[in-house]
Amino acid sequence: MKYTPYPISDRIAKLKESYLKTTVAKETDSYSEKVFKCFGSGDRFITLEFLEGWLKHQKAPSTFRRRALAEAEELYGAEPTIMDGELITGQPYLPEYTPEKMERYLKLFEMFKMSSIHAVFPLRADHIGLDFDKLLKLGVNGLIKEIKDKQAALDINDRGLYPNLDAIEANDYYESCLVELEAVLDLQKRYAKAARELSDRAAGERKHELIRMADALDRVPAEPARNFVEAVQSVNFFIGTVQGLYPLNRPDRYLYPFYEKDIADGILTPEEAQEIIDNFCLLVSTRVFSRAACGFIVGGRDADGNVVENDLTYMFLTALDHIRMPDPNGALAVCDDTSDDIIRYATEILSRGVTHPAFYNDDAIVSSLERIGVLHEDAVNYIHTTCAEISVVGKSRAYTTPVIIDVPAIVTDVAENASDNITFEEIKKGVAHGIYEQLRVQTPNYLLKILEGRKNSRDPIRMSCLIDDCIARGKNYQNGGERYTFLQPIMVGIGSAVDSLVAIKHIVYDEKRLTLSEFAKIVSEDFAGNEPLRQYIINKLPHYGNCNEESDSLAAWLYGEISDMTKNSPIAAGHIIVPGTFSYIFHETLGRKDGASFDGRHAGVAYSDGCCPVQGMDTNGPTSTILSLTSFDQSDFLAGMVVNLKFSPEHITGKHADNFVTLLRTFVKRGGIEMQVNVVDRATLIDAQEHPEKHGDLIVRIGGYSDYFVRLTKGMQNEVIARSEH
Amino acid sequence: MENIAANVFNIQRFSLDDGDGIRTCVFLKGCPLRCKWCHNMESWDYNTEIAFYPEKCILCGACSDICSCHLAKNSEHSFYQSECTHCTRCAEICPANALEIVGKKMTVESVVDEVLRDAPFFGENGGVTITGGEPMSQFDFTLELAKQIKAAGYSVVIETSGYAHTDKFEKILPYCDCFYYDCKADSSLHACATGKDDVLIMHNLDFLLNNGAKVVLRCPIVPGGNLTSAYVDKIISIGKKYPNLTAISLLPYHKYGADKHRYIGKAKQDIYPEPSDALMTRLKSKIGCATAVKVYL
Repeated sequence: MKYTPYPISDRIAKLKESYLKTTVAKETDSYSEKVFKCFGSGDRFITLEFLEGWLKHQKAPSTFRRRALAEAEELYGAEPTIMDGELITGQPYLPEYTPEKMERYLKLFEMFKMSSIHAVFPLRADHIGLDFDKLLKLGVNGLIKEIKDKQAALDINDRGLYPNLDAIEANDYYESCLVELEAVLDLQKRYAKAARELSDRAAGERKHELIRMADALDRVPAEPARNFVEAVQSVNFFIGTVQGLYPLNRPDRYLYPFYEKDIADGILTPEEAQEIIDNFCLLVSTRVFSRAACGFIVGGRDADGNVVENDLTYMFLTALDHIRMPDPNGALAVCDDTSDDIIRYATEILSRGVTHPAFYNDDAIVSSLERIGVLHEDAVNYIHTTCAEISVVGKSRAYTTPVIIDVPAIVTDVAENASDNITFEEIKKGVAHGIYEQLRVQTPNYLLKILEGRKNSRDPIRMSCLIDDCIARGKNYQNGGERYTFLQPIMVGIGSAVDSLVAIKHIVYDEKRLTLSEFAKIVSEDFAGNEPLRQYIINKLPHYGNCNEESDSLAAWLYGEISDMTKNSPIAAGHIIVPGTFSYIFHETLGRKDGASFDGRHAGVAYSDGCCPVQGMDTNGPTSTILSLTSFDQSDFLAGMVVNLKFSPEHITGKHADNFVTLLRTFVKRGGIEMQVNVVDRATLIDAQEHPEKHGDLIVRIGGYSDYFVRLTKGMQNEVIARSEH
Repeated sequence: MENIAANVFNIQRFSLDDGDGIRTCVFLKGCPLRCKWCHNMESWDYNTEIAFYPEKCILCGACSDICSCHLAKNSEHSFYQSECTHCTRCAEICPANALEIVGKKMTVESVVDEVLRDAPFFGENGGVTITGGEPMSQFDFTLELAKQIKAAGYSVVIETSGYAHTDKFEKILPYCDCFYYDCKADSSLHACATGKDDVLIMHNLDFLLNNGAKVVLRCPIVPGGNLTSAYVDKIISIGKKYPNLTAISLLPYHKYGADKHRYIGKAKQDIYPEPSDALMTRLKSKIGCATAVKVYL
């Protein structure tokens, strides 16, 4: 069956324009640039209202409570923002600050930095899939009741006069949750009132829409959702009124019962549902910075092993085509039983230059999660928390990039500091040891940050109410409330590292052209005066990604070492260490600061991206790239294993659509974790670099996230262009 | 039998336009025809050649140190291709791949090893396409390769001009799932446009279609080169005579690669205008209406 999508409505096209003008969506805005820099991390943007609250509540009984009170002040200070044409509403309150307010902001921020280590060394905030099923079933009032019941059962003085510290801490956690949840309800009431007032002034169709919106806001998120509109509104309100990266998770699961019932009852048409979904997806841009990512996954198997493939699966994919924004970065989970139809449908969307959806290997991810101790029913509900790192919806706290390891720099370091009688095997050992040392040194430092963050994390505390088992245990996540804790160290530039090792092996050991120290000297001088050698390395030696046994087996060895050292690590302190190669922007930033490498890469040039081959070096086509990248077991690397492939539109559609299905299915069968498809032609990219003004809407995928091509640095642009076109 | 070798000038993976499914194409060097519009001059000669890409040259002088055919001085590299004996040493030593070997002797076994690497992607329809040049010209190799691919359980397509002895087609027929068979020009023009007349070619086509072969007729459309009303009539009459043709594929001429001649030191071919999309669509519907065979672009 071929799905026929509803076309994009005028309303959605207009809404997109309005949202693009909001503060967060507009990255060129000097204000957001400035504040972005203040925080050193773009994940969470703390408002002036928050900072005023932090100042006001100095005498709170605990730092934790002070944090909650400040979070609540942010909500109390927020003004409802209902935009013209919206069907679903709720966005962070981020007004343009006057110079006086900006001055005040910076002053308070300095104060906040001094009183909070986490403003200086920020832990990654958000990156958490919340349990929307629970929100929709209980509502905020249900959460409050659950908290109060638990609170009532606490015995704070369980031995007469002697206080029970655990209970006191739990009580503080519960009080803090309540402080924030009450503020959510207050904002909800004000949003409902604003919608009601707007409806009074509106006429015709719009009046009805606003009445429906006001009715929904009278009810959700406070109460359980009763229908599709309320369900979407509830979710958007809870995560949408704060700036941050809370993915939309698995919408074709948690929204489907509402959709199915409303369609059966005749109170919703699929066409209306599509508009609501488009609106829901567009709203993500009001809270997610460019360079960040926030997604959803549709498809895959449910806990009973049945494939999820319903109207909403198609509609959420359609929304990506309708809105054409960097976020949400949607994905389709693929298993053997996924239909060819939906893969073809997803591919058609990609062929039109949309950078989503990505494809995730459902069975491989679920079984890998189960292997590291996640329950089956939790594992089937996985999500990429931002770009490509897998964690479990509503049950986990995943720490993304706690440790970032520059693997090619380790190869360079080992080779440059070795004596000439070192063997190649010893070099390999040195590289593995170098990676281990970085993990060993950096991981405890990150664990210390987590400990610090127990008092003052960068997430609103209320979010933990939708993470099991926080309320049950009376603990915030990151304080032991979450069921699963993932540490996701990132290995950057594996492709460059493998090519460097291959070059050392050939030049020094097999061909004996140079001694190791001679070679190292040339590399340290950035191949100055040695261009023929550099050309020889690039043109005559094997490169990873071409189905070459020598480089494939070196890569398999390297991945195996990393997998072993993280699996058997004594440094994880009870956390699950899940490595990945999701390189975000680090392959570019690390490459820019590093000198030349043994693979012929000049100083200052980007390293290989994600788990991919070095840019432009995979010259045998996508089948070879896939064979190389799946020649070892990828499934231990759930923190991002993105295989980027670039196609011309005609290579994946029309008469070739089935060939793409075969390619993807083979990728999945061989255990590939994630495939991202870029459909862009090189000429367009080059033209966009020369004439950015003409290509403002050109979106490309980078290392697990999408961005506007013209907003990338020249270096990143060059790197996207260099990625070989298949 | 084990050591049958051929001169292979390319093995291309993930080919989507030379048969069903995902395929790996094996290009055999050498062709008995000389079509006026052919820009794949590296496929003409049966012997190994050296291609020179001046824009890649870094003027390191490695080639001129070992061979007098090369002179790299005054920031210019001259390659005296007429004196070249194709010993390939220069290309082996050139670090920048500015000099490249075109054509490598490969045994059937080594080609099978290489092409079956992509077998996981072949699925139900995909497989190996043997093309060229003219694969029927290196027949022992082509036959043995087809046998082995078939024995491994994958589909075999042969792209041919049809210019080979009929008994060769008879021998290879059981191992070939489909022939991509050229129809290059009207009979009266054929010898002039391609260097050979079409008598043998038409005879072989008749043989294949009367003996159960699956055949896709490939017709290049070259305005000013082969595109005459007689040519279109010829395609239509083949379509009428052989309703068992699998399809007729019309290939628009393109100028891409028109400057390839200079890389291997050959004379420039004539350049023809590219047919417009409208012309191609018109031809498609004209031929499609006149025959019962599926026509595609």
